[in-house]
Amino acid sequence: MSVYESRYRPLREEKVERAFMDNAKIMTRFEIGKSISGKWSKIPLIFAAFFLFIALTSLPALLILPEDDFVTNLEFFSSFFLTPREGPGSLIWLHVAIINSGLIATDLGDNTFNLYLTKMKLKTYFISKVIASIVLTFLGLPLVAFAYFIVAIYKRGLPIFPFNWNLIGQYFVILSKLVLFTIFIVFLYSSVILLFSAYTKKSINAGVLFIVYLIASSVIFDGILYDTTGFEPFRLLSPLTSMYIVFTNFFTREVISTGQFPTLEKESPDLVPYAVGMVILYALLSLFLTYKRLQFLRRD
Amino acid sequence: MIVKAKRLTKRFYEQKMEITALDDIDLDIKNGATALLGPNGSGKSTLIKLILGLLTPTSGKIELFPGINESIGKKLMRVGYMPETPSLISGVNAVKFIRHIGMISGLSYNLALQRAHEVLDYVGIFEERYREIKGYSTGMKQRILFAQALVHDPEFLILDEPTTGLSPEGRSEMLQLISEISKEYGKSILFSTHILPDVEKICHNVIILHLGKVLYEGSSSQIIKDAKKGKRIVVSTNVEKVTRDFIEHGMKVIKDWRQENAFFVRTHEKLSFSFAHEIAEQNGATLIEFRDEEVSLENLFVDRIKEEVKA
Repeated sequence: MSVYESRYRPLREEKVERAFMDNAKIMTRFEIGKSISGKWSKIPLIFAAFFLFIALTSLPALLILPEDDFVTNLEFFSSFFLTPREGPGSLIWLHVAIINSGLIATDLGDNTFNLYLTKMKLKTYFISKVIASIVLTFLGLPLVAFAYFIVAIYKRGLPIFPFNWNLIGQYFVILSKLVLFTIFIVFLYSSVILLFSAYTKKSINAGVLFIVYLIASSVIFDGILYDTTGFEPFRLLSPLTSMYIVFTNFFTREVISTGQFPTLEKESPDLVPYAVGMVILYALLSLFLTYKRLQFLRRD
Repeated sequence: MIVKAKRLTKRFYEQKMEITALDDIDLDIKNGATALLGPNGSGKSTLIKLILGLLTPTSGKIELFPGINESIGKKLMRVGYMPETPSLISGVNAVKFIRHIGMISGLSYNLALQRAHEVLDYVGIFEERYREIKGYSTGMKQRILFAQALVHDPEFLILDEPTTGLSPEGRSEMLQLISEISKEYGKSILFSTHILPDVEKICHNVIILHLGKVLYEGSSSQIIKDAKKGKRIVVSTNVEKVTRDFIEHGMKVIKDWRQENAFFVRTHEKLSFSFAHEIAEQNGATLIEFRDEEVSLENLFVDRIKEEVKA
């Protein structure tokens, strides 16, 4: 005998017509949870945690440095996690390629795209995916960069008692640079991956295309066209190189007291405004094309 | 009235070719269960997408819950949609999936969770609900899709081919659920299918679409009543000769594809047993069966489409 009868219960409670951003928030939270709990998503997160661990183990050596050297090194190590091309840069690509690639692709593969659109506007769906992509990209090395910055300052001792305006100012400048460059890198990667994710039903395809696109554009425009012609604007056609130009000119990386890392030279300083413009253009163009693609898919 | 369409046209452009999916149609979907019939490419899915606001009409108008002054978003909260293709979120279990659909349908987190369990109980998904959806059978996936359509207790359910891919047992159970939700709980249903016996059991109203036009719109019992009923005849042999003889007598003969020596004879006058017996004997055959033709929606559907093609 069954314990209870499985009957349909009509709803007595009130339903709420959600505002534009309410459904976007629900979708974003769901997407972030789903993406992080994915089978492969643990890999880049483990790598990021490992990087943070390594960085923190080297922290004691930093803490004993004189104030000026400490600030210089703080900027160097915090920004190190955001390096677009060398070192941790490839881990950011891997992170984005694995965690963000399924944001739209899985909806297309699972045929849930149209089901969602019966519940919300296309704009709500699109915004939710953009926010989820930005948050997920931030959760890797950019978050590690901020974690390192905060832990280092905390361990060194906050310059509040007694007030040290000069030091507070220097910390604030580094923090502002970190915030601006993080916005820059996260905006670009999270936009481009969405575009690839909207063109395939398999997240692995989107991830591979994303990495191939970053590397291939760098090799073609920076490695081949620029090297053979010497025409600098060719470099700007590669999003990675554009970001690298901004990175090397943005962060002060000339004095390294520990001597363990080579100093990065400022690359093509004249091109910085154009590089910033190109990265923003790449990101906006990716978002525009993604939205157009979604409009087309709705009709299909 | 649930849906009203007036001079509704939808055209697509593919590779510079114009495709008319719906061609200047008028139709009303009334309260109760309505079957949407039509072969592939008839415009069924386009009509559903227009109702759900996924597409916009090329011309004409389609209105959900006409006369009710609400935003389209609020109206859509009163609609549950079960898509044709399995549309389930991979990587999550049934509870999370239905809770999520409940939340974006206007329920709070706690209520959506409670409703997810209730509707899963109702469709017969028990312990399996905590397993990842990917491993479910087709029947279970269809039940979960039905459950997600019900989670926010909609007034109007759009079911797109809900029995496709199911075993006979699974199909019967699904039809039982649909029938119950329509009859006992008063939900209006638009049931798109090409499996006609399913429709006869559930739907009071029928809309037949063909090549973007409405071939028939009315009650399913009326369409059967309106049909020209004939006789079903089975002969022992020489079926070709016998049927030719009936045709020469000015009668309409349709082959019954289910049995080799069987056919239907339709005539404006009453066909007597003695006349049929005589024709069979004249052609060297024995009359094995002579009875009234059972008119099913399936036969009517095929006949209507044939008539349209001829016209």
